[in-house]
Amino acid sequence: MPQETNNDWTPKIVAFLCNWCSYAGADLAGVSRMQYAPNVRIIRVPCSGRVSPMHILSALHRGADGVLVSGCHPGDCHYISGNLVARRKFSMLKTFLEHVGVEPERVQFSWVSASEGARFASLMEKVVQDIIRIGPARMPAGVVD
Amino acid sequence: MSVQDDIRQTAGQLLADGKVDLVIGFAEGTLAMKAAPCFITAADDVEQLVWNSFCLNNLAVYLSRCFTPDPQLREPPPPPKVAVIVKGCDGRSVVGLIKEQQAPRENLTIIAVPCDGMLDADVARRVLGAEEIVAADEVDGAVKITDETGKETTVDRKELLAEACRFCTHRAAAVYDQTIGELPADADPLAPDDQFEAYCQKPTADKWRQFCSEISKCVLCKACRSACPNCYCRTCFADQTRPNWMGSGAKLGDVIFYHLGRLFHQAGRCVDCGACVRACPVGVDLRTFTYKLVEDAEQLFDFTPGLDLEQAPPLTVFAPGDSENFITDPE
Amino acid sequence: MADSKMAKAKLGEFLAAVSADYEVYGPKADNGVVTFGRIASADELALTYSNSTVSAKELFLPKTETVYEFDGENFVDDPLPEQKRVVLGLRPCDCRALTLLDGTFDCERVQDPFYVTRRANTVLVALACDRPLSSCFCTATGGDPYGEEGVDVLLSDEGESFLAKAVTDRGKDFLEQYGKFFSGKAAGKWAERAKAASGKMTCDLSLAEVSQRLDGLFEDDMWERVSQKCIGCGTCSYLCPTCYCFDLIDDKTATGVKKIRRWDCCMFQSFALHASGHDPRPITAARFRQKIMHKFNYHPQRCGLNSCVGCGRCVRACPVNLDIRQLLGDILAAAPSAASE
Repeated sequence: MPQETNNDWTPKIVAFLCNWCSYAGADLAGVSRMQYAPNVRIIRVPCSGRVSPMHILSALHRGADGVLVSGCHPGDCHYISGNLVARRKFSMLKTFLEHVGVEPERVQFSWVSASEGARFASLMEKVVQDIIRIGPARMPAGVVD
Repeated sequence: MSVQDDIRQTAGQLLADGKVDLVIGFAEGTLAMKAAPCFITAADDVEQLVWNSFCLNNLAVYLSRCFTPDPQLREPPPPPKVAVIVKGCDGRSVVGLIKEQQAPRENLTIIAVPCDGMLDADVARRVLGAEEIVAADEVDGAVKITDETGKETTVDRKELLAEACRFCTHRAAAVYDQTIGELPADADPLAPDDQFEAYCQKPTADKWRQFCSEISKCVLCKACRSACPNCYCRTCFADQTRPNWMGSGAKLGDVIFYHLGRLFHQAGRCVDCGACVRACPVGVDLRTFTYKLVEDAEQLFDFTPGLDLEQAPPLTVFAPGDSENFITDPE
Repeated sequence: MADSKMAKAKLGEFLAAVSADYEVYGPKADNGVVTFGRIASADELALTYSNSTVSAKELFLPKTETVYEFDGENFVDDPLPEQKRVVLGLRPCDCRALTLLDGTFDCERVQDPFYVTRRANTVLVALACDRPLSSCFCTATGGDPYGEEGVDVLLSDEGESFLAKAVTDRGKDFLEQYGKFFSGKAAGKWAERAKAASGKMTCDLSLAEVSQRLDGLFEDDMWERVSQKCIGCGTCSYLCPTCYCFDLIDDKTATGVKKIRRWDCCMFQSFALHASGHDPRPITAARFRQKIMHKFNYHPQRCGLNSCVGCGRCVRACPVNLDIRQLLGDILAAAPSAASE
């Protein structure tokens, strides 16, 4: 991954979306023809609680410029409390990554429900703009050149 | 009776009564300022046990090994009954292992001993600017050290404390079956952790630079993992091939990934015993990063690992009022 | 061969001159940890250490190196490391270790192109050891603080200057090439200095017979006992100048795959694990036995020499103080009849 920003660079962002809320929210944004930045690769997961910190680290390790994890709003989890357990993990991961020097914008967490297509679109816009502002990942990519 | 004599007597009694099959403690080391972990199975051998200021290792690291039989035995033997001599940090690790079901409580006899902080030969080398410590003799808090040139220097023991011991606040095990001597009460750390505080004040880019420069020293022997009582996975993610998480290690990114992965696995579990730091042959400063996890578990979830057998590990539970301030809100 | 002398004041100039022709490597100190790396100026060079924390093996067998690459259509060999190099200031034990590695990577049966090229292109300027540590035991393995095996040029620190002695023809050429930094004839007291250094060795073991003693010990029940405290961390192997085990592993690239050779260690759980899931060395005791038997039994049977130069790094760095000297001493002290049964 090049360290300096060049003109051809567009951010690669991995989004882990929970099947029941955020993925459906993305779907709604799509069928409602809402415009949002096309830099996101969506990975559908059963629940935000399924997302291990290792998945997030692995995405960064393999060259992602940003990672977004989104699940159901607290209280709305299809599995009752998956997102609440995830919330603890993510809050620790977020402060830990900042502690080792990963920009806070690089890894983001949010809640998007199935009815919030517009929220999903504006979330994508915000994340992409944040990543463009901070530039390509400083994490030297491993595994894949 | 000295702590050492008491340890010997207690261990001998436990073995003689058949209450335990094995006592894990410390024996005299072969180098100055080193004691070596040792395994006693017969009451006649308890004279090997010692207790001094060099009993640095976290003995809890052996527990998961004791209770993991040879995977190729068709009929594994019943789990042994093990007595383990614990300082504050060892004891906290043992509690963690019991909670994570790596050591059955009923098979353990936890012997808590008082600890004033242990002395580290590497710290002594640095303090004295010496290549090697040839002899060390401690009398009433002053340590007379002979270096490789034969020069003798007397140093206050506080100067020679291992890094983790300087900042230790739980000097005695909270969960135990027997005690030896008088256990010290919880105390404030001996010194403020200036190095950690200074790191925390740095801008993000500088933190990343320092993190990378520390990690680039790593030779990937993964001794940090082997020395850590919490790293008991049968197959570490770094050794897995499906998925191949880490890659070959040829790129700095692979090494960074290994360390981020291993470090974050300690979230809410690290007891800050310093075993990883001392095991590292090339002196990677891991504590600056592990300590953040200790601090966060305390600040975010009011959790200190290893003090209570009933309290659930913080990342397995939740509270309705957990912090949400890190959540991105696009509106 | 002729002795000569270089004033320490000239070291900077000398390094600058050598750097024009060679890549210069030497010991660098960082917070008490000494490792080998590229040297740009004399200030970076840490020559007063007793022995480096990490051995100089890394300069010949890198931690990871690409063997070849498959770009999706063709196999591309990685270019050979042809650059000419000088390694300054490594200890005679590390040089001797390289002659042992030659037995594996540059022998009749195998010539490893990367290793052979690096060896052929590298001049070893060793610094004799005047202050062996209490954990050093090179004399027990047949080495010497002033040993010349594998050395091209041997230096000895005389305080204000370095005594220099060419040991091989390559060393002689090197000293001639930079002759202007060395005063021609210097009556160096090599013999006395060497004697004084070996007199400081504290280990009185002699490991010549260890191999025979180990012959009957494969099934012995001592292995479990002696390896009980081993946590299998592999620090000993990673610092060892003669451990050479490696793993070949594939790294994906954008279009194909790279074959990477990286250090491995017989103390690791994954070392002998088969693809089937079977592990011929499933417990620490079996792995530890392999390490000791390889170094002190199989290797001498194959090459005639113990695969150990007594640098003492494993003794100093072991986090659980598993002291190989003590173990070998115990094996030697056991009654020979019992051992060979």
